[in-house]
Amino acid sequence: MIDALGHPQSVLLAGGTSEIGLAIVDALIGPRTQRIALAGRDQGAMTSTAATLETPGRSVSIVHLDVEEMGQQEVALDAIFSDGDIDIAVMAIGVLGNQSLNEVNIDQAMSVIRINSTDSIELTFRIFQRMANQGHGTLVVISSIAAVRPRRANFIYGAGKAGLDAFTQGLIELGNEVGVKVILVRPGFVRTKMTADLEEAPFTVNPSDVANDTIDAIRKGRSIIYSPAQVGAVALALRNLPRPLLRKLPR
Amino acid sequence: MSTGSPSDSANRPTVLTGWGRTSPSSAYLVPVNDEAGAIDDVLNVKERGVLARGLGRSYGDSAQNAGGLVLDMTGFNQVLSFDSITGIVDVEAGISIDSLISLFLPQGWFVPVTPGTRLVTVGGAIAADIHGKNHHIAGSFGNHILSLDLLFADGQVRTLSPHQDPEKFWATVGGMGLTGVILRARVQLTKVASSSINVETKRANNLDELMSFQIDLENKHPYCVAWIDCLSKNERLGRGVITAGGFAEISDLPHKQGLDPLSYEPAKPISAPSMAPSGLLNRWSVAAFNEGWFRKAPKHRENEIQSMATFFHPLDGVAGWNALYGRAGFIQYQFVVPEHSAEVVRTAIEKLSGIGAASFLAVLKRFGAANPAPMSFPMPGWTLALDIPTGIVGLSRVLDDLDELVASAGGRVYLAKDSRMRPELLPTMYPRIGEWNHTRDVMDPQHRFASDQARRLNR
Repeated sequence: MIDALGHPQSVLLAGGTSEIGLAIVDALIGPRTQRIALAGRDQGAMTSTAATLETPGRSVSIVHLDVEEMGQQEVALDAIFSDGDIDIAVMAIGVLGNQSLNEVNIDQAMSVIRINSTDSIELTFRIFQRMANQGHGTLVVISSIAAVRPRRANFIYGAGKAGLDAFTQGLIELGNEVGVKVILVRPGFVRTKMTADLEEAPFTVNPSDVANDTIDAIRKGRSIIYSPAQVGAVALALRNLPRPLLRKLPR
Repeated sequence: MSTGSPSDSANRPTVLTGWGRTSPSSAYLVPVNDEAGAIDDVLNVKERGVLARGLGRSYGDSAQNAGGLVLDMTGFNQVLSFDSITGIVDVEAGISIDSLISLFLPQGWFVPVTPGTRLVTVGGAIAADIHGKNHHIAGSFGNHILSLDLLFADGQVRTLSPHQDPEKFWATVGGMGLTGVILRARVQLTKVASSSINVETKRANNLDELMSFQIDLENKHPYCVAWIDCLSKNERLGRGVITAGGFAEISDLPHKQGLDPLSYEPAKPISAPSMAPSGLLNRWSVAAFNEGWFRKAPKHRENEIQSMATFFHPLDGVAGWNALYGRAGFIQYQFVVPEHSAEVVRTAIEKLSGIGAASFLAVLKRFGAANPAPMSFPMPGWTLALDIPTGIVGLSRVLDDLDELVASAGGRVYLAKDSRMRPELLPTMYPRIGEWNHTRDVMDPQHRFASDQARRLNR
């Protein structure tokens, strides 16, 4: 069970190698955390991460999860929830894709859109349902500023995230009725492997900054946050900017 | 007639919190109207168990059962019999102390123990083994229960008392609802001559004074408690105001009041704004309040006549006062340490004021003897209770440190208020938990009775 000050006893990271996800897990865990589950595709990377998270009073389990694999989500979640309740789950699965390559390869583009949208929505929904059944839980969903204001340089990625983002907005409301706290996190540009090849945007942050903002949201009971907070204002401004002007901005 | 079965409400969970409004969880809330319905609910329970809930005044997660069944006992609230000679009353467990007072104070009988609010049920008062300002002479609520009827996990209802199945009786007193559903109780009320309190007030400029005045006053009066200003520092640390007293004799009352000494009409509470901005209670507003409260108090005053409600239940004057802490809620921290470890109280105040944890309602009291219940909170020594908003930076660390300090001093924290302690410390704080676990396993081998707090504390 999560305590009154937001400390979980059990944590699930879906996207077990996500740098933002791991930064959030790192910031969340403490002396009360007895169990961590890492779910993802890269067994090797998760195994070495697990070693750094394990302590005498805390077990870390690794579960194979590939959101694209038909029927596999339930199998993975059965394994995770059979060990007990999950207090906080972080849904950090997503792919950026290569926008310019994907613009000329619709199959690849659709794969990026599917993973970020329908596959991610499905997993988010399934985790949510399990939390609703246990009657408690906090579900952190990592969206993106690109979901709110897709731009020329990232609209394929943004289109997928927009689906997840819209779905999660509704889930926040449903969660209020069934005792599950859903938190939608919209990071701006974050320095990670995923963005290493891209030019940094204004207000670029590190995964640990997103993690701190997320923890703050959990403790203060906020449901939608931008990280850093300034990109929320930027998103708002960009939404209202006339298109010809928007085009003139650096990509 | 049966109460709604779990399946009736299966699609509509209710989100529940404790009075501190932290850690919400949802459960299937089923009203209990009669014994048969309650038995049915307990027998048909699913894997996430069942728990009785009263008026929801425990501060943390002890009256929640996430994903499971929660029996709302507040409709099961009839008085079954009353003996006006002996003051023994048989009640259904969902009746509130408020109702008991309204019904019996005008007849010259008062509840044996009352907490700072009247809005708790008898079942909850037994399960938490609540205490009040008279603990030093009267002990806790469980001391005044002559017997109780408990609905066991096997669906049987059995009568327990200090003489009949004492182990199970005392496991239920302070058992936080984990031994079964308390259906009925036989309570010994206390004879009083009036509905007013003859109060003595004394102001103390620091903690040493506060403690020594308190010892003086509790020797003179059956009820005694100190309000403590947790924001004063240095030589004024622990300054506060002690109020003590007892029910007034008719001769103590002004002539007009003496004509109708037992009259009692509960005032209708004013409501706190439900959408209060969070942070209304902050270190500055609380510091200002504390200063005013301290200065308002007389240095020493005797024979002041106060109403029962003013003396015992000042908070009941403001309905929903917990909303003043905003949506993030608040923590109530209460611990007791043995007499010889009184310095822990000073350390606690220092550490909390060090991080600006402004407590609006800090209360210091000296407990008397403990009762035989293995999981009962009170033990001889000093108990400090405070409200703290959750948002304070460094709070978690400070409270964890205090837990360690309290545990190593041979003290404990109060489970009816706890919402955050670490499970590892429970056996140190409650050294008789092994004995209790054994009794619980006999009474409820499958642990059908469950709560969020029990899950959090690995009970």
